[in-house]
Amino acid sequence: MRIDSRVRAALQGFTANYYVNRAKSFQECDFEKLREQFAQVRGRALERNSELLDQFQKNAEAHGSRVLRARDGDEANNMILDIMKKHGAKKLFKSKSMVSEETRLNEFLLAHGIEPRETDLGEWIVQLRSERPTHMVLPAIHLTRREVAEVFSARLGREVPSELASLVQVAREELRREIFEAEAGLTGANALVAENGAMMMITNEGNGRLVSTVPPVHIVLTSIEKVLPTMNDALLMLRLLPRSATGQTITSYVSFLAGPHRQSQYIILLDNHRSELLAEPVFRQVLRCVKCSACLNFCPVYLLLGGAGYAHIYMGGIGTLLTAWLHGLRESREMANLCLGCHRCEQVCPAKIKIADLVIDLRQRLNQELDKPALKSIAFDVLISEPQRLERIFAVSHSTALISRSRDGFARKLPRPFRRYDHFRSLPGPSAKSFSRVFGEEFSAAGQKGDRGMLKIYAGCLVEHFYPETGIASAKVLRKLGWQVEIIEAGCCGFPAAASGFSDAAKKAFARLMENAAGDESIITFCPTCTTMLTHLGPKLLPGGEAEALAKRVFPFSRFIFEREHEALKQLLEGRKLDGKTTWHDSCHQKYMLQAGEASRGLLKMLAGGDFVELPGADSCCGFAGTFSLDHPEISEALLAEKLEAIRKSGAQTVAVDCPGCLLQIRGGCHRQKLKVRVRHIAELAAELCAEKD
Amino acid sequence: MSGNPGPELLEQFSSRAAAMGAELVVVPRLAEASAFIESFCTKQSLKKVLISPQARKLLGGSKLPLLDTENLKNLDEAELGIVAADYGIAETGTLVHFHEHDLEKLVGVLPLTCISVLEAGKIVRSLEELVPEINEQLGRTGLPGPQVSLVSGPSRTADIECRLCIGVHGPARLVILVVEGARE
Repeated sequence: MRIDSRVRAALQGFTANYYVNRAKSFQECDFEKLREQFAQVRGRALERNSELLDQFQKNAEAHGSRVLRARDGDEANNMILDIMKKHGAKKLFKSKSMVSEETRLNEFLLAHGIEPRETDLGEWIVQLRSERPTHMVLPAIHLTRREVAEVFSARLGREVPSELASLVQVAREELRREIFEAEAGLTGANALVAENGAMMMITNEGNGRLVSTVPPVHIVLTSIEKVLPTMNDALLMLRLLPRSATGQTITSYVSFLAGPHRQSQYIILLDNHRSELLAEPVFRQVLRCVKCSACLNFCPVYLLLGGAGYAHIYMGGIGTLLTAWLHGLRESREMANLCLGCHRCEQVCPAKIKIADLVIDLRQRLNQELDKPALKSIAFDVLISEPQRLERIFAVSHSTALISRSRDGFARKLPRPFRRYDHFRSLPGPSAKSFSRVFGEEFSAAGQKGDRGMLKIYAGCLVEHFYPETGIASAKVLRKLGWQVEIIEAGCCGFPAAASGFSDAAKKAFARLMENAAGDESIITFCPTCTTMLTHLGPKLLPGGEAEALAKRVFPFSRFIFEREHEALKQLLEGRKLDGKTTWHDSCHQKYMLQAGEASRGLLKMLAGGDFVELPGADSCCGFAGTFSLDHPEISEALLAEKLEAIRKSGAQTVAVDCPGCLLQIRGGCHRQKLKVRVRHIAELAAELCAEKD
Repeated sequence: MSGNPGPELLEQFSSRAAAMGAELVVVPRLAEASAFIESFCTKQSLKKVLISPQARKLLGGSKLPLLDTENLKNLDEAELGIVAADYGIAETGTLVHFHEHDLEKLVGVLPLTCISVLEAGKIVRSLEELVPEINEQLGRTGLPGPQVSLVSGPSRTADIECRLCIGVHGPARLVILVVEGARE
């Protein structure tokens, strides 16, 4: 996967302002409430889609529009061609339409002797360069003004200066020169209002108004999911869309058109497999998408690759899901592997689409209906079928010095063919003794005296085999707080298999975990990813009372300590604080899946006192993301590089994390780059301060 | 229409419209609105001025030279378009137009400068308050192609290097002329 450094820089420049503007634009409204409301409205509209389309059609026809239904892209393109022929039109003036990208309308028209002419500035630039848009809202974000000047100069046959004002002037003058002779215009629609047959169009430049008003023929190319029952529903969408797309409270122009005035108006409603998607109870919510791109603007992978690297036609995670239905499962396969599973997109989607969750479901579908990736099949088999097998593999590795562990815990460098996995981060060597062994030796003999009752610990694979010290530290803190502690030995929780769409292997692992975790004690975890398996993915795979009861018993370590043991820990600490500046990296699953980011931060602030500094971009993935960093080491490396740069700039001596995966990635990166920074699981930092009492 | 919008609505409208890039001018009565437009044209030496039928109705006996709106090319040659807004939205600084004819819309889009006359009494808090009026307008079947358009600030783009530029395909200047007093 190629990372285009220019696209990356352009997107970073854009998002820096966008994040601020978006947050500001939502200041006066309750985003959570609005999006819940909109998700419901759009969800109910999808359930009644065919009835609402009929109602829209009836009302639009009463206003004099011709409404056409297109089964697929080809049919829609042919309808447009027929309209053009009927009116003797040779050139089609277009305002921005993603649906026309979906049907590849421009290529089709060119092949049939009709010239498509994009009028949105960004789309026009991209068209003149024979490229595709790299962003749904900002199609030419990958280009500099100099390149735009070059393409305009070539078009006009004269030198166009590269000042923004001159470039915009060219766009204005050229369109004005042509539009009054235009025979036909094409626009999209952001929403269709069933109750009055009106279409809502949201734009900024004003080209949409020219294209829909000046030419004698107006074609609207839109898709069936856009129909909403009432005007109020459309206005609710209008509250969310511009704020999500660009951070504007409203765009320069919003039009509601109910029928043509002077022109002939054709409204083409494209299905293109959306009806099949509507019939999918789990995936149907994908059609709640309003194409605002907020999910892309928050996607760490999209921000690296842009629309050229992470798209079929629709982009990013949501694009993966749309592609699977609109263009076929096979076309979505490569994209489906590009999702980190960080779930950051889900926090900002104005339609509350569970994008990352659905990508996991899609991977399962892909494995069922296409061929399974062979290597992963074997790996999950080894990892899951028999937990002891992993320990035996590591034992053999140790005794034969295949994978050695140096005193600082790192493995020696991998052989050359595998260097892409560890040249940017040192990998840990497996611990000589597993966490369960160390735990047995340290605590069982001593007996348990805690008077607060019994807690169970579920460590997860990374702590079990690589970071036993994290598990031991947590157990020490809990024991000091007066709890008795036992561990659940169950091997892998099944998350890596579940996230890769291997649901059978995942079910097997989760069922075993449920069995071994039987009881009613609270369960403390220190890996947010395992915790996500216990509370979200597991219960989805094996629904029922047993999984639900288990989920309720689970507490991530920092949430348990911060929310339930706050005062007790304070007493235990007796005012002791960590030395030096400490900063915090958010583990994606802790923040976005368990919604426990604030508890983690709160706990760290208790430990670090006044020497806590915020890490810029703390809530963006470090690039580990489990099997992702093996599938896409270049992306993993680039994300880690950003994280390390932020750490370096923060001047912190200690970086605290909440997840053994982030620990592996960030500690390994600091080691390779010889950064003098301590990277610790928060449980170890808590244990350090508690231990000083002894 | 009562002329008492509550000063806080006008204040909010003005500050939000300014934030969207519009210029605000408040005059006490319609007579002063006409006077402002005339002096604006003189100062900017604007000769080709277009006025929408609705604005002409509102401003009464305006002495402005008018262009023929039947020929679209004429519309394009105008330097200034004068329109009248039906409502203002305080929350976003938005002008609401209920168009009788789509050429009216073009008067506000084609010229590089647009003056939009708005009576202060027509400012409401949020768009949602206008749903009954919008529905009535869009539901009219006697009239071909009923339209409602919302205009917030000048035409804009950020398509090149994400830098904001105004005046792409629509006006670069939007002057909102708020008439405070009640209609006489």
